[in-house]
Order: sequence, then C-alpha cells, then structure tokens
Amino acid sequence: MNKLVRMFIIQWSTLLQYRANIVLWLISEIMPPLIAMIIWYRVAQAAPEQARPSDILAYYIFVIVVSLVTQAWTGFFLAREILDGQIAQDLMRPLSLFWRHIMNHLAEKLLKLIFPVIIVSVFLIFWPSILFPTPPSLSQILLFFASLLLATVLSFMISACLGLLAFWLENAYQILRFKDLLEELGSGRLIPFALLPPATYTLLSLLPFRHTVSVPIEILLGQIQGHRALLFLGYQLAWIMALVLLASWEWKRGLKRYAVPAQ
Amino acid sequence: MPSQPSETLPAPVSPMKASSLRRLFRIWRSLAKASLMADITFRFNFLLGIIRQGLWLLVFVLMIEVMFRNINSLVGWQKSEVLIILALSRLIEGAMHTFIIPNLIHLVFEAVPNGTFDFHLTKPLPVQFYTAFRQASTESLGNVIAGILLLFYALSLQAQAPSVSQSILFLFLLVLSAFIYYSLLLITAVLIFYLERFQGIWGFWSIFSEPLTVPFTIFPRTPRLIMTYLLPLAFIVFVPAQAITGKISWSYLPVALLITIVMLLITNIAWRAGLRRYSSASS
Repeated sequence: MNKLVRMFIIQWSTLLQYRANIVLWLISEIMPPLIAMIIWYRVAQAAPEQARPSDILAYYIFVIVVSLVTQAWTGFFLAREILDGQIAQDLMRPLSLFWRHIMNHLAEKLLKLIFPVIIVSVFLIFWPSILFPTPPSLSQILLFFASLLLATVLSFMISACLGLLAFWLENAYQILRFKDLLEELGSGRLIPFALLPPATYTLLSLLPFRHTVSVPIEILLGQIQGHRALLFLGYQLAWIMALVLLASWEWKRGLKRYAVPAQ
Repeated sequence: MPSQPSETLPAPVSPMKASSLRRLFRIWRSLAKASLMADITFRFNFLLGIIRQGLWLLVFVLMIEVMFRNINSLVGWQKSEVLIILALSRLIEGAMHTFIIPNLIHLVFEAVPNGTFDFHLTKPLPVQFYTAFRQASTESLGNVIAGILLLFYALSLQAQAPSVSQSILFLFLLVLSAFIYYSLLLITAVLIFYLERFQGIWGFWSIFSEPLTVPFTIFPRTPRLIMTYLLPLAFIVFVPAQAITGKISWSYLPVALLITIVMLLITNIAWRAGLRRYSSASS
C-alpha cells in the first residue's frame, strides 16, 4: 500500500509540471460536447416534441462533467511504452506497470475532477433547475454514483485493452484513433441516445461506449428507471469483467512474443 | 563569402529574388511532392487514414440526418446548406492538415524543444515559409477528397444552382479563408518560443476546428460576434458557405479582405517577435 501511495505522489507531481497543458487539454475536451449541446438545443427549440430544450441542456452539462471523469488516455501511453521498449524497466520493478498506469490515471482524474466539481457546484448553487428539470430521487443519485464509478473503470479498461494491442500491431495508435471515432458517436456525446432513430440506437447500444458516458446520465435524469437501472449496472460490470480477462490474456500472450526494440 | 566555382553552382540569388513568389512556389512544390511520395509508400497508414476520415464524414452526415428528422430548417439553414458547411469544413481542414499543421506540430514538438529549429534559420529561405511549408502529409487527403465530393453532392441537392457572381465571391472568400486559418494557426504556434514546454498548443487547434462544422447562427450573439471579428473563425467556413448559398452579397468582401490583412500583419509581427526569443536548445 505504501508503495502505491508513493507511486501516486510521483505521478501527481509529474502531472503538475504540465498545468498549462492540462487547462488546454481540458478546453479541447469540452469543446465537442459544448458545440453538440448548442446544436441540439436549437433543434429542440424548433421541435420540442422530441426533447425539450431544458432536457438537452441538463443532459449536456452532465455529458461534459461525466466525460471529464471517465475519459482515459492510458491506452496511448501503454502503446507508446510497449513500442519503444520502456516497459522493460517496469518488468524489473517490484510493482506491475498496471499499477503505475492506474496511479497515473488516478492522479490525472483527481486533477481534472476540480473542473467538474466547479461546474456542478456553480449550477447547483445558482441554477439548480437547469441541472435538474425534475429533481432526482436519492436512489437515482446513489445509482448514478455507482454507475459513474463503473463507467470510469470500464473506460480505463477499453483504453488499456486497445493499447496492449501494440504487442502485435505497430499501428496501435491508428486503432486508438478509430476508437475515438466510435466513442464520440457511441457514448452519446455527439448525438444523445434519446434522439437516435431506433435502428442506430440498438446498434450503438451493443458497443461498450454507451456505458462509459451516457448510461450514468440516463440513470440520473430518470431515462433509465427502477430495476432497468440495476440491469444497466450489470451490463457495465459484465463489460468490465470481459475486458479485464481480455487485458490479462493480451498481457501474458504479448509478453511471450515481446522483443524490446534495440536502443 | 566563400569563393565558389561559378561554373558548377548557380549564381547566388539576391535577397529580393530569393523570396520571389515564383521561386517559393517552385520550392514548395518540390518539397511537397517529395514528402507526399515518401508518405504514400506507407500504404497501410494512408489507407487507414482515408477509411477513418470516410467514417468521420458518415458520422457527421448521420448527425445532420438526425437533426433534420423533425425540422425543415435550423436557424435559417436547410439540410443541404448545412451539408455544404460540413463539406467546406472537411475540405479546408483537410488542406490545413495536409500542408500546414504537420509542420507546426514538428515545430512545437520537435524543432524548438530539441533545437533543430537552428536548421530552419540557416536555410536560404524565409524562415516562416520553410517552417510552415517544409513538408506535406497524405494523412488527411481523405478529408480533402471527401469535402470536394460532398460539396458537389450538397450543391446538387439545392433547388437553385449558385449564380456565377455567387461562385466567384465564394472562391475569393475561400482563398481568404485559407490565409485567415493559416494566421490563427501560426499565431498560436509562435507561443512555443515563449513557453518551451507548452505543447498543449495543439489544444488551440482543436478549439479552432470544432465550431467550423456548424452554422454560426446557432451561437448566442456575444460568442458569435467574438468568433466573427475577434477570433475570425466565421470567415473560415461559415462566410464562404453563406456566399455560395446566396445569403450574403459582395459588400462582405472588403470586410473579409480587411480582416485577412490584419491577421497576416499580426502573424508576421508575432512571428518576428517569436524568432527573437528563440535561443536554441542548450547542449
């Protein structure tokens, strides 16, 4: 445990050297959902029967908050370390490199959490009715936090599984960029699930990405209710377990065939 | 000056001639050609890039389809007109990612941090020209192609074909748009001379590119005015799109021209100031 704490502190202080960068990363992460929010808000103004403008506003404020919490960049770094041979150092260390990545992830999240917390508190204090057109029940709030936690783990696992492909593919970065595309669409960031035509809705629900952003919000805003909410938590858990198995399989198989690139 | 055997080397060019547009164009053409050829040998990457950009286009088209499922026009823009905006954004961004942005990425992540920018200074070429145009990349050619195809498709959906006068105005504005986009990119890239670890600069570039795909009339008044005159993003895609759809008249051209000139002036002042700050990497 002590080792993990120390590892976290190292990751945290490395991250702090890049403060200005992080602010810009943050803004560029917020931009796409912000633009999408304005588009769907205008669409809802013109055709309120499908979704009310106030619903769109609430949904997208939470999209921004939840994506900041759940987004993971682990896969990119994992791929880079595998491709340039850096993981050889980790193999000699007393702790698995996964712990380093998890700690890096936690440090990053903790730093970025500052912004979602500010956004949510400002709205809660000044415009609570924008955030919650209908106030959520306590069980909805609890289920939301459970689902948010699972979403964070799931997003991390998706990214890690794709990053580990670098053992086999020199183009792992390319794969990660395809993931960005699917994620943008499949997570409900670009088009809210509530507005999708039925066929696309079903198709995109088969991907794991809906469970990384949209599902917690749908639970909080009451679009997924009662025992269906529990069912969705089950889906999230199932995805996580499948991906943990996949990642450990990739790791074992990958290490067997791994040759460190010559320096 | 070292003595040169004049029969083997071309006569030294005068500074005036050195930056004559024709010479720069010829140099750029051969630089771009060489790097595109080198790039295309990595066929797999090239192919994946095209597939990815094709998929992105489909995603955006899907988004527009969903938008117009229940409405006929969005803040005064019809579906085919929104498709024109999308097409233009693909085209212009594709062009920037082909010719300019890879070079600025090189500047920010490689040349300045590692001090190889020294070599940019010693080339017998204007430094800004060499920095911004030294290579071209095939990675985003897919967007250029997709943009052109979609533009013609969207224009064919229009009830009325654009008039000759509209088309000429559009082409003028499109050229100015490239200059304005170039200026915005370069002004932000210059920051690397001041903040050598500030590689988050690319974040600015995604901030610039995000709003390009939508009609600016969706924005509330204040952000819209800011993005039109202060940070003239509107002139990159939205204003040319207004021209080809007949929503603005020729009276807009002087405004666009003025903004372009101001932006280019700021770019050059910023660039020169940046160069004076450059101190190479210690070694």
